[in-house]
Amino acid sequence: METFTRLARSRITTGVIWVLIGLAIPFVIETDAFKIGQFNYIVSIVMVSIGLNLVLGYAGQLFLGPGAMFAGGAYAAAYMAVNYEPFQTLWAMCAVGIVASIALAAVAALPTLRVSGFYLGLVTLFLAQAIPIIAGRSEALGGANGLSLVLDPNFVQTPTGDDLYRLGVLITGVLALYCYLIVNSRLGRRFTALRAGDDLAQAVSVPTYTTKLTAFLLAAVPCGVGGAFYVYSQQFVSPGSVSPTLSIYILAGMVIGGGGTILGPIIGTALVMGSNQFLSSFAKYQGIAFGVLLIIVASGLPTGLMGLAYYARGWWAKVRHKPFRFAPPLPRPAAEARPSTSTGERLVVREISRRFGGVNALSEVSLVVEPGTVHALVGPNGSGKTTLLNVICGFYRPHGGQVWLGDRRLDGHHVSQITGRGVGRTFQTPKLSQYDTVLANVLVGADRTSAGWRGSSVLRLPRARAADRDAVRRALVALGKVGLEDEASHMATELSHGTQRLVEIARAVALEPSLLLLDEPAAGLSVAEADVLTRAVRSLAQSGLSVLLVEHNLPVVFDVADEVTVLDEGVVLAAGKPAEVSTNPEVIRVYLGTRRPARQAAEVLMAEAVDEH
Amino acid sequence: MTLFLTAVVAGIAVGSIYAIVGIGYTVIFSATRVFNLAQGDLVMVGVMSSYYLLVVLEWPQWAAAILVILFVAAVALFEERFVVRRFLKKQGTASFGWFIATLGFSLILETTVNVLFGRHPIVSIPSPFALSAVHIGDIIVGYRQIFIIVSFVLIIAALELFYQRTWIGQAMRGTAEDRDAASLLGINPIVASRVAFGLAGAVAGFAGYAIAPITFSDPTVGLVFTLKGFLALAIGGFGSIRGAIVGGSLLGVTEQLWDLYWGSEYDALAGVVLVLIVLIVRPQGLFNTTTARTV
Repeated sequence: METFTRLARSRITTGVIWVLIGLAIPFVIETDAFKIGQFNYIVSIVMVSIGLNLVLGYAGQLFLGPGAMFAGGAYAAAYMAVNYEPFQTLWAMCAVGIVASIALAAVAALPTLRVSGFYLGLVTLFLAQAIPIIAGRSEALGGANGLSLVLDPNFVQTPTGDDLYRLGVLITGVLALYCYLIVNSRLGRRFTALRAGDDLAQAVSVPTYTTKLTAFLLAAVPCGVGGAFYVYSQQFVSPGSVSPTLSIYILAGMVIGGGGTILGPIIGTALVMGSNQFLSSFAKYQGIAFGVLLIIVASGLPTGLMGLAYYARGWWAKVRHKPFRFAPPLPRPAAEARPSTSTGERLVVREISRRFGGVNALSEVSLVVEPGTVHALVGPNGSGKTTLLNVICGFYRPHGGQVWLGDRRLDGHHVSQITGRGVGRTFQTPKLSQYDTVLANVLVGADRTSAGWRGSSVLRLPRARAADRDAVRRALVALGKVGLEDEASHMATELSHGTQRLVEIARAVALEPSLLLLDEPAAGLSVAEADVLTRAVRSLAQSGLSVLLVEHNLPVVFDVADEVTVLDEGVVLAAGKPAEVSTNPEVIRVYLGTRRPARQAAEVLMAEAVDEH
Repeated sequence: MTLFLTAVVAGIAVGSIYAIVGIGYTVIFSATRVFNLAQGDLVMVGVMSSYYLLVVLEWPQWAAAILVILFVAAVALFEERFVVRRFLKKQGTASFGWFIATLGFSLILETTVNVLFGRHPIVSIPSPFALSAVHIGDIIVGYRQIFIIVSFVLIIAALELFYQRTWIGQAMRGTAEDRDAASLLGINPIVASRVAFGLAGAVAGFAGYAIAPITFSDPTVGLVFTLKGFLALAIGGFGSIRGAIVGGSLLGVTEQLWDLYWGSEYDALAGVVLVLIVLIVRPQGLFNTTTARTV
């Protein structure tokens, strides 16, 4: 645990150093009132990028109109300050900005998040485009001239000048800490699960709609503060200050700096807005430069400048012949936190049918997986293996038949409920959060069984800290079961394809399931990797789990399976012990397409696989 | 009543523009699963190149129309090659990289046009049709509105012919339904993507030429088209040309009626209010045909 605390401490130290750098700027660069105004403008936009980063960078949800929340916060704060004197302090304006920004976020998000994908993004961008038009025509909001506090004799700015700028930097630091606390909590791990895809999030029992909504509402807070700080420091807001292009610049700053990191968006946005404010000869062309950078980062450098810095550090370590790791290695768990509560349960699939259009993908398929055994599901491409897996874990509803796990019925329930009843699964293509550590990827599974309110994890309340420590231990135990406890602090992207698959299995094991569904875990593995996988699957079954395995790799199947079911065109062709099935003439005809016994075919395949490596 | 009907006709004309942008999205999306955020800017490039050819160079209308269509199609093909192509291989991941990349391209287009024409005054662009109108009963319909609606019908008819009657069009419908199956059948997804972008670019170019006389030479209209085209699809439903037509017309008519009855103060909200209502009542849009494959 000390290593973890040390890691957190070093991150906080980095943050403090950057805040000090920000505070020192007016000492280094000669300033006047105008320049400080420009600095304050940049600071308020940087605050907005922190909010954008929570939604787009961490939760992976498209949010293209951060300027809308900024504009909402700014106009609300200005309106209240102009009309009601008590609202003329910075803190009151921040409060108004936050409330307005959250209200706007709720209106945009509640309907659009029901439809997945890009609705939220485009509707918020639409709001960013509509708000200046509306404000420009609304008398209450000052029309084209906007709302101004400059001539209001009652309005007193405290602090002013350099001090106001420094206060802005401190507020930015607080918002960065806010972001840090959220993303390094159980809630934050749910965000990164969403980033890896809705399928994955559901498969680790994360409710997608409410989690997306939470991310978006939490992100509205920095946006609203940014709007309020803008109005307070500039003492006015007009339609021109909230143009839709602003949203695209904030987006460019966040993406170029590096979404999904705390520091990246702050630095990126400061650079983008700085060049916008200070390089006036370049101003005309900067859209082209930012556009090109956006395309480059989007296509090859998902963590932007921060990713570049990371690669540079790795390269530098290599030059100096020093080992380089993303994070310090973690100690092996001394003892199990609490004994794993999972025991295997019997899976009974009874006469399941599923149609797609006019095609019968599954017709009355039945099978039983006993606890403590590995049951392999094989068959040619398109025979319905993955469809059956998707029916069992709830991605598809069956058109007939039942699925039972122990004495509980699974079919007809939603994916995350079925996960909650003890079903863990992996995917054909590993769905990992690539720029997170292996441990963080597995933790999202271990979190499922942590009790208590997720907000308490954000606030680091004592009980939640204990639960988080416990989750870390259980995640390490799960990693140990697939032989990866030494890789816990590696970044997922550093691992080979085969090891990524093992991480996926560890994540599913961390859910403490009673049934494990593995979708082609050996596809694309080397023989050595397949061997590690086979042993891991065997020992998981020996610990009592029920394992259902869809697999093409026949050597793996014959090595690991206790029972085999062969599907062909959605019908069970044969079932039984591997030895029986492999000599079944029907199976040989349909599945292997040759007269060779399956075992021999398997050996040929094995030999081919060896040749390839 | 007369005012109402006049507003409806005007709404359909404006809505046709939104629908054309929406159809551009659909053509590309169904072949590539990429939502091209530069689509509105392609229309803007069509408007601005019409301006350059007709006002600055004083070309005849027919020659300008042809060159604008070819030029915008070329820009779209450039985008396909250098912005979108690398994302086509990464199907199935939750990455939204292409979203950011096409947004970057739209920023490049808008800035480039601004650098080239930003100093020119915003002027009206000549139309082959006079600024007069016909009276049908009491309803007043401008010739230019008729021209836009007629060009819109022609574009749809041409696309329908392409998808129904040509081999490549049918193959692209196959790609839309199932990418894996399509590539097994020997339909190259890269070819499908290239054809889709070329087609969407040509449609955007023609749309730009057709609407140039009513939008003036304003290089910032791209984003508005991008957004309104999306709203049209969100209302009508993704994946079908019919959805884009109905959604675009509904959006245009709603905007005009909002203006007529509630004034122009908040008319910018008309579209988003309509979309939010549709999403609450029927989240998949009015005519959705796409079915998602999850895993």
